[in-house]
Amino acid sequence: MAIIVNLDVMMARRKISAGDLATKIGITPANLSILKNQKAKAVRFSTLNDICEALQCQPGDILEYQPDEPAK
Amino acid sequence: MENKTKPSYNMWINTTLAACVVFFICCLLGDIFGYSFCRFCWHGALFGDGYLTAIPFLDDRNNRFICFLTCFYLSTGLTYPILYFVSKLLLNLKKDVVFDKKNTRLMTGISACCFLICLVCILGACASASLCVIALVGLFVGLIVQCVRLVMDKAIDMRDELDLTV
Repeated sequence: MAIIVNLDVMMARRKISAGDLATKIGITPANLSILKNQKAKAVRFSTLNDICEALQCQPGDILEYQPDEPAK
Repeated sequence: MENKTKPSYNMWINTTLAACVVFFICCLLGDIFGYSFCRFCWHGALFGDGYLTAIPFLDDRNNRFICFLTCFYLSTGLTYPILYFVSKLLLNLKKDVVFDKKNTRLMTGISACCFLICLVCILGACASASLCVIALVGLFVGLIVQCVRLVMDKAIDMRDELDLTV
């Protein structure tokens, strides 16, 4: 997948645990784990908004585009 | 978690399961009394009419009857896996396992058996043209089941995507 979620990096910078963040943004720890472990297929704008608000950052700090390697 | 399934839903599943058992008994009886049943159909001219004259083997009425009997037994033989797959599918639905790859595999099995019955009956139609009707019914049911399977496959993909939407 070309989109990388750098949520764990931002969480480490803000020194916040997964459980605390999940409570702050109102999603289950299981869903936060899906997002953190690059398993998510989509992120709602409302969730992104809450994460940015809780971590005091921009969407670009959490999401990053990395082009896939071309098949040989 | 509270089970919010409507009572009528379970009632319909139970009714369909009961229908499966009735069909199973019919198939079993068909296998036991198959020869007499086929003879009755054959001599009652229900199935003993047109045949493919290009095959000399089929000129003999007895040979045509043997072909018809073979088709009958092959078709009833293929009905058992269909009934097994249908009952498994219904039991999965009863357990609230609906959008699952297991169910689509069962549906593939059902449609494959329907297509095989169709093939058997098309071959049998050389000996008795009336078998074309059963072949068409098999093909039609197989196509319907295949369409439902494709819809279900798509629904499973969509559900997976929805589950991974945060």
